[in-house]
Amino acid sequence: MNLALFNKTLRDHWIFILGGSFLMGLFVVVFMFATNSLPMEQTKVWLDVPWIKSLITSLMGSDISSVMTPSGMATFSFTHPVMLAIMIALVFSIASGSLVGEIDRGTIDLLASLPISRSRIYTSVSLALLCCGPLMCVSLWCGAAIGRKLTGQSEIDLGQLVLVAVQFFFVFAFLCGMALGVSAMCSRRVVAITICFGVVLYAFTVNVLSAFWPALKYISYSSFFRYYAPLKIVESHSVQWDSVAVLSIAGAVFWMAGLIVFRRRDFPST
Amino acid sequence: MNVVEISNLAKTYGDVVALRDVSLTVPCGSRFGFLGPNGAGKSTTLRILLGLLRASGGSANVFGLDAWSESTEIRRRLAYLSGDARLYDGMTGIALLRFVDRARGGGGWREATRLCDRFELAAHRKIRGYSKGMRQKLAIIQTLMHKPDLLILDEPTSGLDPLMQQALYDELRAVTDEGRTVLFSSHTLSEVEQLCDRVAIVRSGRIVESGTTDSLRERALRRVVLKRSGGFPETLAVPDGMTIRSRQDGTMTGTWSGSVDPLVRWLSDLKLDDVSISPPSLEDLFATYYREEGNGGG
Repeated sequence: MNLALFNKTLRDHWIFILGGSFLMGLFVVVFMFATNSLPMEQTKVWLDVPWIKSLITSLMGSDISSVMTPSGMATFSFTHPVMLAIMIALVFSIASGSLVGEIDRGTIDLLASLPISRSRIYTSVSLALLCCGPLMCVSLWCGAAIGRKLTGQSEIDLGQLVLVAVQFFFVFAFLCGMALGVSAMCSRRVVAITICFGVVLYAFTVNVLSAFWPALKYISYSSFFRYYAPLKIVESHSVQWDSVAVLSIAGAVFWMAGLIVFRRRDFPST
Repeated sequence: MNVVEISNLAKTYGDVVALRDVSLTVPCGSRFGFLGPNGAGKSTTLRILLGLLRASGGSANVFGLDAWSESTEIRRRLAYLSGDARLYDGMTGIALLRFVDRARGGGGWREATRLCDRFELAAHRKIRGYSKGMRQKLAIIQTLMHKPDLLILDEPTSGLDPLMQQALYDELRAVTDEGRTVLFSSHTLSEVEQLCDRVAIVRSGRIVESGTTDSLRERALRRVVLKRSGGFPETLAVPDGMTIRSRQDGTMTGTWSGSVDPLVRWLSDLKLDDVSISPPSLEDLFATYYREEGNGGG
C-alpha cells in the first residue's frame, strides 16, 4: 500500500464519507422516532396486508411478524432502501472516482507516472474505501443507540444491533469489491456507475419479485440482498456466517478480477 | 550508454496502427527531441516507455529495463509530463507537490520550493482556479522536483509565455549539464532546434529521420530566391540539387540540397540583381515529410 495515495483517496472524499455516515446515523434516529410514534397494533394491521408483508420479508430476510419486538423494528432501519441507497451511492462514488475517475479525468497520467505499482494503486484505493465501512457501521449503531435513548425504548438490544452492523459491513465490503472491480475495467466513469447500479437494480428487483413469484426463488440466490437478513440475526442472536462467506467470496472474486485487469490494461490518453 | 532503447516497436488498437517498426536510441545526457505532427505516434511511444501502454510488438527498454514488466522500477528514476497536463483540481498547488513528494518517498521539497520561485507560481491557490499556463508550470515543477535521471516531456511549453519557456529551457539545459537526460516531444520545431542536440522525426507511426540536430540540418533544404531584370530563360540549365518551385516576373524560387559550392558557382554566372539563400532548418525537413503525409505519402 502507498500511504500518500491512501491519504489522498480519503482526503478527496472526506465530505462524502463523513456526510454519508452522518446521514445514515441520522436516518436511523428519525426512523426509530417514526416507528415509535406508530401504535404497534397499527403496524400489525399493515403487516397483515399480504403484499406489504411480502415486501418487508424480502428486505428483512425473514417474516417480521414473528419478531415484532422493538429490536426487530429497529433492525428495519438497517435494511431500509433509503439506508442502502446512501451506502451504495457512497461506495460507487468513491470507487469510481478513484480508479476509472482518474482515467476519465486524465489524472491517471500523473498517478501512473509515479513509482507506485498498479497493484499498489489498486490496493491503496481499496483499503481507503474499505476503511469507510467501520465508520458507517459505527454511525448506524450510534444512530440506534441515540434513537433508543431519545425514544426511551430501553428494550432494544444494542448487542443484537452490533451483530446486524457487522453483517452490514460485509454487504458494504461486497459492494466495494464489485465497484472497484468494475471501475478497474472501465475507461469511462459513467459506464462504470451504470454497470454497478445495473447490478444493484437487478439484485433488488430479483429479491423483491422472488417474494411474490416463487419461480424466481432460485434466481434470487444471485442477489446479494438475499445474504443480508437482519431479522435472522435477531432471531438467532448470531451473525449469519454462511451469508458472510458468500458475500466475502463474491466481493473478493470481483476485486481480484479488477486487480488482474488493472495490472494488465492500457491507459489510453484522454 | 543509451538510456532509452526502442527496437521495432509496434502498437495497434484493433485495426488501427498507431506505431509500426519504431526503433530509436536516446543517449545518456542528451536532450533528445521527438518531432512529429499531431497523431504521428509521439505520445503513444512515450506512454509505452512509461508503462501506460503495452506494446503490441518489438521492445522498449529504459535504463536497460523492460518498459512494461519493470515499469515501477523505471519510474523511480524518471519523471513524465503529459501533453495535456491534467491535475487534481480540488487540491492546492502545494498539496499536489506534497502528494507527489510523499508518493515518491520524499526528498524533493526543497527543489520544489526553488522551482516555484523560479517559475513564479502561486502554489497556495486551488488548482481549479489556475490558468492554463499556471497548470503547466505546476506540472513542470512536479516533474522536475525529484531530479530524475530521465525526464520525458510531452509538449512541455504549451501554455507558457516566452519568458517561462526560456526559464524551462534553462532548467532543461541544467538537467543535461548534470548528466541527466531529457526526452522532449514537440511539434514546435523552433524549440527543438533551439534546445535539442539529437532529433527523431516520427510520421504516421514510423521514424523517418533520426540523428544529431546538426546532421539533420545539413540534410535539410535551403530556400533560394533569385531576382534578375529581364527574367530567366526557359531553357536555363540548373545544377543537380536545385529544384525550381516557381518563376514569376524576374523572380525565381527554389530549394537547394547538398553542399553550397556548386550553387555559388552556378549563381556567379547568372548576373543576378539579388539573391537570397536561407539557412537550412529542421522546419524545412519536417515540412517535407509533413507535406508528403498530407499528399497521402504516409
